[in-house]
Amino acid sequence: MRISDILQLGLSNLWRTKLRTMLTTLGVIIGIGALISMVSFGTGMQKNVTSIFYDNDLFTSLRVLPMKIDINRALSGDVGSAMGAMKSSRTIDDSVLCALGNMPEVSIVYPEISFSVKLRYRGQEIRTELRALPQAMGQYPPHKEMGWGAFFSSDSALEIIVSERQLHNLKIHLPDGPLNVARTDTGMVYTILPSDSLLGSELEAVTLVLDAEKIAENPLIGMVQPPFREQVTRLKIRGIKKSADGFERPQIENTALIPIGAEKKVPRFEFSSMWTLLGNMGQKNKGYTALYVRVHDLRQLSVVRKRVEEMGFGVIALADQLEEIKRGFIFLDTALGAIGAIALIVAALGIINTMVMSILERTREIGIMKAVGGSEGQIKGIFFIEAAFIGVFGGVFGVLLGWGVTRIANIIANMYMVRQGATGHVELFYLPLWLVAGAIAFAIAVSLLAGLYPAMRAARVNPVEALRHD
Amino acid sequence: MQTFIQASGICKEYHKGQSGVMALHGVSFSAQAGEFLSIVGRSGSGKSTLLNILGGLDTASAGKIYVDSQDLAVMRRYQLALYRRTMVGMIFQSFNLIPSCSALDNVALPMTFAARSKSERTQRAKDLLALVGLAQREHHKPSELSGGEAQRVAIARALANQPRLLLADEPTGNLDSHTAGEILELLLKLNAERNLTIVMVTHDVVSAADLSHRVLRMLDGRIVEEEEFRRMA
Ligand SMILES: Nc1ncnc2c1ncn2[C@@H]1O[C@H](COP(=O)(O)OP(=O)(O)O)[C@@H](O)[C@H]1O
Ligand SMILES: [Mg+2]
Repeated sequence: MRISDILQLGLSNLWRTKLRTMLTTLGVIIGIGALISMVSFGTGMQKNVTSIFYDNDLFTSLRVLPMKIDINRALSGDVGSAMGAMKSSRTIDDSVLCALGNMPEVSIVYPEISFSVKLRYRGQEIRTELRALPQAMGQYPPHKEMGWGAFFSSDSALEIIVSERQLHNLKIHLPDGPLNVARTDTGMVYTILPSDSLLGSELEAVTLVLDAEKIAENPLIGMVQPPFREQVTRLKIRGIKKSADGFERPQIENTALIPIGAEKKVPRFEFSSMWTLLGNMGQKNKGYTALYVRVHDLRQLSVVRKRVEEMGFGVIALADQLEEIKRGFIFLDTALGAIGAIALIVAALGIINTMVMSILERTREIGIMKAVGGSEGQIKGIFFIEAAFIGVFGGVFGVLLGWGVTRIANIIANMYMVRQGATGHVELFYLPLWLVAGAIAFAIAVSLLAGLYPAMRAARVNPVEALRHD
Repeated sequence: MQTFIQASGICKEYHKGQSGVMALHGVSFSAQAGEFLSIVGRSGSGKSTLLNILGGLDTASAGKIYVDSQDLAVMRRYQLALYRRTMVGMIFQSFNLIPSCSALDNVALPMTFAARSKSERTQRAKDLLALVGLAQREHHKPSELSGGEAQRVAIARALANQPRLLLADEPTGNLDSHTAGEILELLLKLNAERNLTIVMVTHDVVSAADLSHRVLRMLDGRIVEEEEFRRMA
């Protein structure tokens, strides 16, 4: 029997019972549609998260901490060893900075310094975090991209990079920025300024310093009123970061940047609690809280990491976290896929039911086919191909359905997020080619599996009994 | 004269629960190539059972059966399918055409299993329908055909893969006597002109005696009488 004849026979048999075929195929379509939309949501999430990692170029960097950290042990409540680690902590000073900087694999190393300031511009004030970065970081994401202006001109210039959102909070609106004025709190009046007039203009960073005079006058004054006074540093706006499309990225949008060398020119008294206040008074230069280390190549990360750990420091690499996140996503994808797979199993039962029904109805026909020379294999093939067709149609249209559902869901989600105040556009779903091919292959495989028993049953029909007149 | 069918000691037992029903009790006979053999006997005497075994649709419980020197008893299921496809054509009292297929498609079906090309199938099916006098009925469904016409389509189908043996199980049982006569005439013509060996089960003892070279009478699963009416040429 020719393959073309089997295909044609299968199709015409399905066509004969159009409604039943359609309903059965619809089961597969819905199953595959569910599978596709579920898994493409999972892969979409994964893509969004990993692309944040890639966009921010987090794979080639690591953080060096003063102490070895064993997160697992600390989390499991082993306070004793966690304390032991604290005791064995080492100071990260400039000599460590130099040692790391001299490693051939290391391209950039700088201490992580950030502090809280008030930014004052055109009479408006906001409180924000100021972070110090070397000029060299400007060539890497996310700093490579600057909405307006440029990255720092040098490591020591008195410059600042702010975000569009921070400007918004300062009641300044950039006409060509993605942030929207209309949806922000009503009653707020914005000054609309083009970026040209913002760039190069000066902004005031207000910090608190210990007021030595006040303390000298009366050491107990701190008990009555804070012994501080405000110190103003003027910084030139060098660049403005555009607000991110879609998700708000707080670490980026709520932080202003200054050159690493300029940081020392912003006097401040650092404290986060009374404890540090007292501690700071006692000792000078505790060392840095952490170092940022960037290697030239992703593959050098583990080498550098090992060397730094041997020096007695703790290391955190975000690449580790990504592995963990990826493992989490495999779990999520499996769970989502399982839901779709269950729908498909139900569809498979539908196929079995339909085919067994049609074999019962066509018993005589099967007997005739056998009487005129049809072999068991050929009859198996004729029925098997019906299941295969249901699988192919179900798979293809199921993918289309799943795709359609994700498109609609994405539009709705975006509409919702715009109403919640997000800007730009998010892709919640990702439908890679492997998923399309995999889903269709899965539909066919499941359908064939479902067709196995009915086809075997058809092949085993006893022709003598099938043809006995009635 | 060569022996085309050689059956000896064929038994067939049907199992029904605990007890078995013996449908054939050691049937032995032979037939020459080109012979027209009729089998008569009461209902339930085992005629259909014997014919189905001859046609490879059923298998004997015991005994030997050779058709064209091929031993049916040792054939596997796919070999029996091949045997049915190439060696025998069968027609039945109830025609057994596929209701959803046209006359042409019904005739072409055995050639589909024999992997003939579509054009070849169509051409040959048309020729066969012309041979049985139904050239104008190609596209009619079985439900649109009279009993006699349906049986002609069945005969055309039985001839599709040029078998050497035609098995007919009461082919005129559902037809009026005039139409029955026409069908029997057609069978006789095929037997005479194509040297087709025919084994026919019938109730019609008179026409069996008229047409056949020999008539076997069965009773309770045995051949009880054999009569020769015409000598083979
Ligand atoms: N599948 C079967 N199961 C049980 N008994 C059967 C079966 N087929 C036929 N028989 C029995 O075998 C005997 C012969 O049947 P059959 O060959 O159809 O007779 P005929 O064709 O001469 O009328 C009958 O008694 C019938 O009841
Ligand atoms: Mg009978």
